[in-house]
Amino acid sequence: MAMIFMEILSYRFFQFALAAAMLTSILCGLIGTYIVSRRMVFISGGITHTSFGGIGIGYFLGIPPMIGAAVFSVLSALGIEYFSRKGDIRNDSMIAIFWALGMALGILFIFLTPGYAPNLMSYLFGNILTISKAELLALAILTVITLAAFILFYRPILYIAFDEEFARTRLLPVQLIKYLIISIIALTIVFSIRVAGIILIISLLTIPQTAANLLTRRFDRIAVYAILLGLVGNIGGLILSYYLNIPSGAAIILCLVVIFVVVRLLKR
Amino acid sequence: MDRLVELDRITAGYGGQAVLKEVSLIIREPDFIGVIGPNGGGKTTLLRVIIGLLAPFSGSVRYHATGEERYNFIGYLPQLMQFDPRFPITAMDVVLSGIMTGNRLMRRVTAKERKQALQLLEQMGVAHLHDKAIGELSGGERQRLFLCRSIISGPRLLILDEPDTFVDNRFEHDLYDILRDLNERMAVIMVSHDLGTISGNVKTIACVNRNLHYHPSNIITEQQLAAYDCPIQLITHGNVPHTVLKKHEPWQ
Repeated sequence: MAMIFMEILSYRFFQFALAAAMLTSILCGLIGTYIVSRRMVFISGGITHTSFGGIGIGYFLGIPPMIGAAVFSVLSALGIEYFSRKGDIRNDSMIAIFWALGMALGILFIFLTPGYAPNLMSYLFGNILTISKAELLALAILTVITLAAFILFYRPILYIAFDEEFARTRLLPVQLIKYLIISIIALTIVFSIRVAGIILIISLLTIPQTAANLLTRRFDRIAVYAILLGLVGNIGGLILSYYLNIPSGAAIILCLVVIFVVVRLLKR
Repeated sequence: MDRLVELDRITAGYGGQAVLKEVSLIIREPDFIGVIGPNGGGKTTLLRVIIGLLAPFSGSVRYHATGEERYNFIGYLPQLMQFDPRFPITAMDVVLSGIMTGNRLMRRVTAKERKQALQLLEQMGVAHLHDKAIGELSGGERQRLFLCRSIISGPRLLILDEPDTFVDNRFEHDLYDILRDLNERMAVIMVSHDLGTISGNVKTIACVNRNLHYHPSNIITEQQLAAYDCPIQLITHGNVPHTVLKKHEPWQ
């Protein structure tokens, strides 16, 4: 067993996949803790599906789809944050509009692109084994920036998330920090598409955190536990998908759900 | 009589609708002002303008604070029930959020500040809860916690929005002792719907009903309230005699 594992570790594509699994555990573990704590799961779902529009536009314009998705998602996320602040449209209704528009634009632009039709399944459901060096590098840089931001600005981030209005009375730059974090959320989602796919990403951002939240009610501890549980689920899912020859995204989500159920049962 | 905040002919509201019209008020160092008025009359709007949470349509707000002083100038206790009780934050961190300022976002919390927070919690009788998540606290315990958060920075002006809602009688009694004590060190301005309790404890009264009438005493008669166009909903129903409101004497 150990021998076989050492053998697959020598494959470059598997090294990349393993690194991506570890990086997304850290990144999604942390960002997901913020999302779950602030009850932003639906917004995150909206941003995720909006990114598909960026992928379509990327194909149509002949630029790397992930760059199209990154730009489009960040702009949509800032748009959602901006309009939800104005408050003349109900927040959840507006997210649904972004959600559907993103998917519609994605399929439309891919349809309009002449010639080769990309494999949509890998964007929708992920395929961690196909991650490129550039994508891995982008993921690594984003993980480092996000970790640094949360460590350096832990208290202002936590306080704004808990009570925005009080944070304003302390003259904290509330709006700036909210825009920065929603942008990081959008980038986290885009760079995790390879691992879990548009439809499954939400699980990386919610399942480990919900399990962690069963064990503790402190933000910092939820983040650490979610990262650890995410590591087990992501790496477990990756190995499972390799040996059973099943889709990686689905295998990872199944592992995460099993972990959640185990934590829930142990907690009783 | 050092001036702290001056509101000059403030018109303010939401979505283009003015709630307050041409309101002026000067808050001074030793003040303890009780803000009363009917629901929707603009009490909370007034507080939000004073704090700087709401930009007025017209008029000016002037703070007598220089540079760094401005960051710890105002302590604020908002109306309860507007946060997510499942948010993962400990009581201790809630109190410590009261010392964070916009000019030092990367500051670490020192051991001394932790001790100070614990002492405050001790004073309010909730020190044993410091490691509990906010959601595990009762309404009264949360209110004590939020009071700690609002005063830990040692503000010059403490602003409280209905601090006596959702609290038990014992804390309500303690609260006014605590506030009187704090008033030795800072100005206090407080909204309350309970005129009876407020007027026994404050020094002056501001009647807010679109306009503001400043009443430089803590005793106010029904006649004066009527003159200020400030109908108050009394908690007591029917013809219950009220201890604080001086009845309009027939011979006056």
